Amino acid sequence: MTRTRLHAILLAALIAALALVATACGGSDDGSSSSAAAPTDGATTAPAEPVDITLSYDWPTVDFEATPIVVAQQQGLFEKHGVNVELIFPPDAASSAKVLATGKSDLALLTTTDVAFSIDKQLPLISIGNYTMRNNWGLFTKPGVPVALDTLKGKTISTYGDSWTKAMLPFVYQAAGITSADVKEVVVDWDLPLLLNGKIDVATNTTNFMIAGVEDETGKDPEYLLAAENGAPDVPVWVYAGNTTWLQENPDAARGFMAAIGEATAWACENPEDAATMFGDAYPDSGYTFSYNRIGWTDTCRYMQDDNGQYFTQTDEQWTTLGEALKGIGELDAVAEPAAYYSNEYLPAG
Amino acid sequence: MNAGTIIRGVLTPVISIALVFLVWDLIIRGFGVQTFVAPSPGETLDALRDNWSTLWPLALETIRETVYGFIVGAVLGFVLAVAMAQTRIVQGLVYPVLIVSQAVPIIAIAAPLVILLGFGIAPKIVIVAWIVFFPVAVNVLDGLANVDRELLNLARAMGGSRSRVFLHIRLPATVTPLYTGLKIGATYAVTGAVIGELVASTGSSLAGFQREANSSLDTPAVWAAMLLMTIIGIGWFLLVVGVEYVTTPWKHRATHRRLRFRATNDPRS
Repeated sequence: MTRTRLHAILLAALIAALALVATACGGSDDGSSSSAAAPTDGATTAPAEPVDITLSYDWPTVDFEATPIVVAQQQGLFEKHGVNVELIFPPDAASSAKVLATGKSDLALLTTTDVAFSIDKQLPLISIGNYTMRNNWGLFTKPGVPVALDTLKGKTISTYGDSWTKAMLPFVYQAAGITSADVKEVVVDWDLPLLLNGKIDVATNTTNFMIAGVEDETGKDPEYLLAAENGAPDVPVWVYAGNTTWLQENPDAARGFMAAIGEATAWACENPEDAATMFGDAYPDSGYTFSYNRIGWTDTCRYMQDDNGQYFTQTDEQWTTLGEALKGIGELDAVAEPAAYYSNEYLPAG
Repeated sequence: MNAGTIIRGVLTPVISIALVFLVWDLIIRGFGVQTFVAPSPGETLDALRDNWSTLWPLALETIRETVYGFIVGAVLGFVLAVAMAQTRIVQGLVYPVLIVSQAVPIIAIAAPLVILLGFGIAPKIVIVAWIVFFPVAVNVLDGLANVDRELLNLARAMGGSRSRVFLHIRLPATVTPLYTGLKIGATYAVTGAVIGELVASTGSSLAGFQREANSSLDTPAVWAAMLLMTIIGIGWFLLVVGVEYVTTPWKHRATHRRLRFRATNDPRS
């Protein structure tokens, strides 16, 4: 091969590589593109120009818990209520509160423990509505392998090393009459393959993610033990939260957001198949199957209303109970007044 | 060791690290970065002190994973390099695999490793070895490939057998590139151990502590663990440098003798 020819080949390879990089960089964003349908019926106080809202998700990647947001985008519910919502993703699961507190987002989906720790650190955020109303966290085993309190001793139990699990697990141990020394706790990055491969006996997770994962993989339901029915407090796991400065400046936008999310959530829970399809269309590259999204979203809906059929409404009791649980394990020095954690003033009327 | 050597060898690195801390502190203060986003060096050191009794046992475990994985990786890398240098067909077969192994994101293989090897130290050793063996193999192979041709021809002309040529000419030629590879591997080894800990660990680990502290928004504690990981990495690198210094006396002593000779015999002095 002559040197000129070699140079020509190298040049062509370089151009091809640059073209590949340019294509990758110029590719369209997936996900949140909304093909808005006609707004549904309902009262609205939408201003002429919609207020742009950035919402930080509670996880670095999208999953079916974003279904209400997708439905509100696709059905034009945000527009109807005078807001325009962009969903952004934090660098890690614990950073959504930081993103919110620094004003990089206006609203966020957070765990209730995120809010409790944020208030403890005096971060400028507050919960404005429950995402789920009850505690759907629990202990899971493979299909066909029963899990019960009296069988936990000596088992290998996985956790994600997160504060929620750290707060809830002692309650379950106490109900089982054991301590953490009686089991083998392992901190893992992803529990599902380890559970299905028998590397762990018990996984700790929430029902919506674990049931969806196991059923999608095996076609069968996992066995599980709900912590709230076995000693742990029945408090919500996730909430919508807002940056306090932004909330003071944009109370109507916050109300518009919650009103739109309320309509979207109700519709999505009544039409889980359609909602899962809508989510899959909005995020075709999420890596999840339709089945996973449908099962996960359907299970999520089971925990989204209180006994009176209400969405979102928070109570003093839920925050005090959570605060005391975190204080009990030494994660909080003091429990703040409930009003420091939440406000219901942005919830839709009725 | 004279005063100049001490200044160059000890004081300058200390000054450069102090400068890093100073710049870090200036950035935090200058930009008004809040503690929950990134703590100052002082806050990080305070968190390190406050959590020391928890962090130190975890650090010992990370050091154990790092050392075992480093040894396995270094031996594997060296053996592979020697095997590749001896036979072209082995090099043709193995070298592409070497490249591919480093192109694979380590985090992607970490999870399957845990499923195969469990939650103990084994997957961490494999991950550290995976990271360390590559720079060692590539550097040693490079050293073996660049042995003076004339020296090899001379040895063969003098009737040197293949094994004697390898032992007396090729093998010594790998010392410098071997240490280069080991020093590169040493700086990355801790990262490998922490990746292994992140994917799965029995009980507590430095990475687990970090994750838990992050989950509680205790950012200074997260950075304290990070600082400890960095110190382990630097310590391991310095240990390799120290071993190189002791095992390759000809490198520095010859230079010193020459410098001393020049200093005492230079007519200008």
